[in-house]
Amino acid sequence: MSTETVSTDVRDYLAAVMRELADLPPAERDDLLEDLDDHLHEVLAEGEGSLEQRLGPPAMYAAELRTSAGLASATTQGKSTAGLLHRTIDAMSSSGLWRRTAEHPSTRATLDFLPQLRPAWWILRAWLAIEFIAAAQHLRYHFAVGFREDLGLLPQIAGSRYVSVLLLVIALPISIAIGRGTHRGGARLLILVGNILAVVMMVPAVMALRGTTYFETDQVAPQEGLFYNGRPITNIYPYDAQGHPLDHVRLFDSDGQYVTPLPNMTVLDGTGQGGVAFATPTVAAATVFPDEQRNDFPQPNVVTVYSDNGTPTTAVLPRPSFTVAPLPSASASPTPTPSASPSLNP
Amino acid sequence: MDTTQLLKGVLDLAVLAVLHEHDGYGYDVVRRLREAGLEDVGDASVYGTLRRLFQAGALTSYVVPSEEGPHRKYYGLNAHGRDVMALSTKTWRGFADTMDHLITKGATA
Repeated sequence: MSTETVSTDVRDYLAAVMRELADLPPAERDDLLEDLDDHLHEVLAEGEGSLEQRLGPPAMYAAELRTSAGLASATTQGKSTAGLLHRTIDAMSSSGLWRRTAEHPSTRATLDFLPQLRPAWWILRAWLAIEFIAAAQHLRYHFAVGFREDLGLLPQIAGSRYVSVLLLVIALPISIAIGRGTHRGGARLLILVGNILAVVMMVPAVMALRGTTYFETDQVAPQEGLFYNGRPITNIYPYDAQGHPLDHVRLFDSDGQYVTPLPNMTVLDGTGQGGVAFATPTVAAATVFPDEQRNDFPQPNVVTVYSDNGTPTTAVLPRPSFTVAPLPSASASPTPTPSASPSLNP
Repeated sequence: MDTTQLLKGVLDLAVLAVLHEHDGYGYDVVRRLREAGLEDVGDASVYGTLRRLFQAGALTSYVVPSEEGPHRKYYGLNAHGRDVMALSTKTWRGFADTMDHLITKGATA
């Protein structure tokens, strides 16, 4: 027998055994087959017949290897989801605790019960399809704002909730028909993709039902203005090292850009009852002052007061009085003069 | 009587006994089992058993490079393996005695 035939025989037999063990986790299968290549060469080297004659068909070899290694057998239980679940449980049951859990009557009963829930899924996915259409409608808008506005039990489609009712009436029998039928090949794949999409859609749809915006949290639009620990800053009161208040201080960031507070921050009081709204700085400050003047701290503390009939009057409040202690080093060294001034942006 | 059925129950002990004698690689264990009289032992069963005993922590393994041919993976008993073997031996002896007794009684009755 030439070396070439030997290696071809070994390769074919090895590949066939591997196919039989395809359902095992790769690491486990590799472990199991680690010595097989050498083994097959050795058997052939004895020159007492082909591999099949010596070891039996590859499928039998694989089955024997699997059983003696204490691994679950690949008995095909059908390719349904329930069958897959049973097989998964079987595979897990090779370890002690899992075996007891998996073989417990209640576990088996639960697994056997799952297929009965399929009609519920058919109804659910019809609804999810409608939610999907509604979400796809304003996709760009939704990613900025969240799904709360347009999703819900009956979402707005083409501006009307009646459209979604109509679509639901159409989608329900289709979904049920798909569920009850048997499919193969391309249709099966298509249904699988649809089901996966429906499961994914479940997240925003359920979030919308709960009135929670889901996408808002991780897609925050950049906020204008100054913030400190998440709280908007409406004014800045600079003090020098001796604790004296400073006027006309201009602030720049590391890029030489103006640092300005929120352009038009209007804070209404919680109830609207007292009729007083504090806006610091007010709309007036934002519209009247150009950016250069808004970068002049502290800014005039303007308050808009609404009278009972709703007419606003603005007033400049006095500077809030802080007591600022001088820095410990302030008396020892004079106030340093900055050596370089930041370049101003046009 | 089909010995393959009997073998299934005692293959662990047979493999442990062979390795207790001295360390060996997969096919070496197969050969030694056959030479000892277990002619029906299946190659795959021995390899699978070695893998399972190794994973159960009863065996050590090491690779021995060989000048001609492939590097071989040798197996040997560790402390746990010797404990398993001692316990299995005791179980086997008790079982064999019981069977002997049963058969002898049946034959003389």
